[in-house]
Amino acid sequence: MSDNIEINNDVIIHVEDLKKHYNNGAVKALDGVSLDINKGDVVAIIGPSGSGKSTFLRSLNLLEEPSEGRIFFNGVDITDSKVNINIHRQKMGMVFQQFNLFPHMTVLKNMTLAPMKLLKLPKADAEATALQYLERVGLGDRADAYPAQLSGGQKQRVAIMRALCMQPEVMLFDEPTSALDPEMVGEVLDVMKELAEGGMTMAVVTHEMGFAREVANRVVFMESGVIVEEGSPEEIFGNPSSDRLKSFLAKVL
Amino acid sequence: MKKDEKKKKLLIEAIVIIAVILVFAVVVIVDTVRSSPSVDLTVEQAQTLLDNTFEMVPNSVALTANHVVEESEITVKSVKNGNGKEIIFECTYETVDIQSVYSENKDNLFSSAYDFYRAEKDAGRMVNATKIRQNFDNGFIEVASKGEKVSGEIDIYVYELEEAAAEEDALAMPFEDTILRVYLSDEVINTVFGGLLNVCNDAINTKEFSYNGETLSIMNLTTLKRGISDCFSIRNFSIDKPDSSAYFVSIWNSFCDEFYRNFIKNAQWSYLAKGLLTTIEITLLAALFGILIGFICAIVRCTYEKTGKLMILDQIVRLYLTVIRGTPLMIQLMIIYFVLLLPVGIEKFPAAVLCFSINSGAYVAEIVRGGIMSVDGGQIEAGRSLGLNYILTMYHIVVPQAFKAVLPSLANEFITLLKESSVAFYIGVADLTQGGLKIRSITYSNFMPLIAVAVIYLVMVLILTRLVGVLERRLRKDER
Repeated sequence: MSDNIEINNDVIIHVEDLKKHYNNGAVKALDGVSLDINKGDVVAIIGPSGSGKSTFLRSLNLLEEPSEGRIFFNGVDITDSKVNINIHRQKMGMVFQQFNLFPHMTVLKNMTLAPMKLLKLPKADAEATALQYLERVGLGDRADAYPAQLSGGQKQRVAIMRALCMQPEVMLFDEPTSALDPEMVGEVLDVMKELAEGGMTMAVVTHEMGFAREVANRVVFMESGVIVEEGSPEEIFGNPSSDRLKSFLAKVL
Repeated sequence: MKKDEKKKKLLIEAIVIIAVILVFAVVVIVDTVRSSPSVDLTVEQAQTLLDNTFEMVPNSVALTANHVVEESEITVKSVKNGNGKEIIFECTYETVDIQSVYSENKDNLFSSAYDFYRAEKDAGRMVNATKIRQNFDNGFIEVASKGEKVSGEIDIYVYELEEAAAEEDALAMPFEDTILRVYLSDEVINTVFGGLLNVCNDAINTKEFSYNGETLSIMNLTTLKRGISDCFSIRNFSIDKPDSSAYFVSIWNSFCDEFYRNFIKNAQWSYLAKGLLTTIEITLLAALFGILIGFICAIVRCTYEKTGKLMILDQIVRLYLTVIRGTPLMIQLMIIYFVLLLPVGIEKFPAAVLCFSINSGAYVAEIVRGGIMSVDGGQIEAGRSLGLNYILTMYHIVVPQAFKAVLPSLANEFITLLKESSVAFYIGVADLTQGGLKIRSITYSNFMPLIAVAVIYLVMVLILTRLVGVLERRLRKDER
């Protein structure tokens, strides 16, 4: 614990000069990113494709191993190879663009697998919690369905609830609505919005500018592996300072 | 539509399996029933039997031959013993061309028969077909003797001896109640009885004949017609039993005979039964260990490919796969048994199980590796992001999906293993194949033991294929 730095108690994730290189440095997906995420923050990460925003998000729970830099989660340097990353991942829920539900398990089994195996919850408790979450998003009757029997929007809602079943402190969303048909985007965003209102700390890589403006309290604009601009939604969308952000917003809004 | 097709396919497969089993059941039953009274005949005994039979059954070959075969002598040429007895007679004969004689004299024959019929009727006596035939016979012989004689020799095959007496009695007095049934081939009928059948047909179908220059209809003279045609018919020979069937009877009899000789006699089927059991044991054990070895090797290789860990183990596994997949199974078996295990005193059976496990494991490893690699990378990420470690993710998420993907290939591997276990006989394991070969070495016949072994393997493979289909459908339920 000696090299854990003293930081503000409100900071959950502290990222220091994060770099990710491919092909021995020829490709720089992340080129020195630093960011603090505070408790209760809803951080929207926007930017053109290939800007490194997904890589950055996936680095936060080490699905991508950073080449350089450090990430502190609750004050612990999780990039340290001696740290058991599995324990910290339990506290960071993640939602994927492609849902990644387990196709060979029912919805209920998807949601109770990790709580039962890792939190050692009794089956009945795990299932009760899972059902509660399902009810909350209006899928109480689909507990015994298999993922292939659900629509895209339903799958993503289940995926969010699966992550929530582990009682995470932070939720990471990697373009959660990009793979959905347009009419299903709303139902997923509603769930996320509700989550944000409940005080969940969230980092969301998204192309939904409306969501970023309305729900996020901070917006981060990335391009070419660096954070170009960061600020409140009002600042980013109302008063962009860099040319790159201006041209990006001109294209997407 | 699709469901119907599946049902149809299932039905056909079921029918095929049932048919194969039924045929064997029938063969076994028929053979067991048939085989009980079995007496071996010598040529002399067969000759006696032949003479007795013709004495006891007066209107048989000899008598009928009076009409067409002028002189004939039938002797027993050889006897084939066993369950379906076969006696080959040699028949020397002199015969006349009855058809041409009949054609020339048809009107005279009909007229003289009609004369007799009229005379009897006028005298107020009862006329029936038998009376007409008896009178007509004599006239016929007179006419027939004018024909040209032809000599020759033929073989007559006789099948089927019904022995009513018990076995001991039959030995003492073997022919007392024996009925000899004679079935003649078309060839024999045509040669010996020449045109007699044609003549008979012509007599039956005749509608009118010439009588003293006027044409007389025979349609209303049914008694006369029957008397005449009776005289031509070959009595006590079954012409309804067409002789093509005798050929099949002969094949069937020799089939039953062979079946009996190979499997029923001395309970030789037990070689197959015991062998089958051994084959099943070897296959099941080897499949179990093979899948275990295969999965472990596959996981080692995938872990190395995905994370770069376990490099040394990966190298060992690669070497194992290269050696096993690059050498013939039979050589592996012989090396494992004769070179490695025999010197330390390990039995044949565990040696075979070990060899087939190691061999199968190598193929399973590559199959499973393909399956694991085919599972979407997002699945592993999802598992890991929940906090599951690599092993738990593999165990709960990747392997079950991989297993489903590779099940058809695994089943094929299992079926291959079942069949390839037949090389176990090279080290002397008494498996199904060796059971068949053992019977072959006792009976010196090739057909029965080898075909039986093949059929048993086939039935097992069909059953396995069916089972795998059921398992696959159950595992696929989440894809709907």
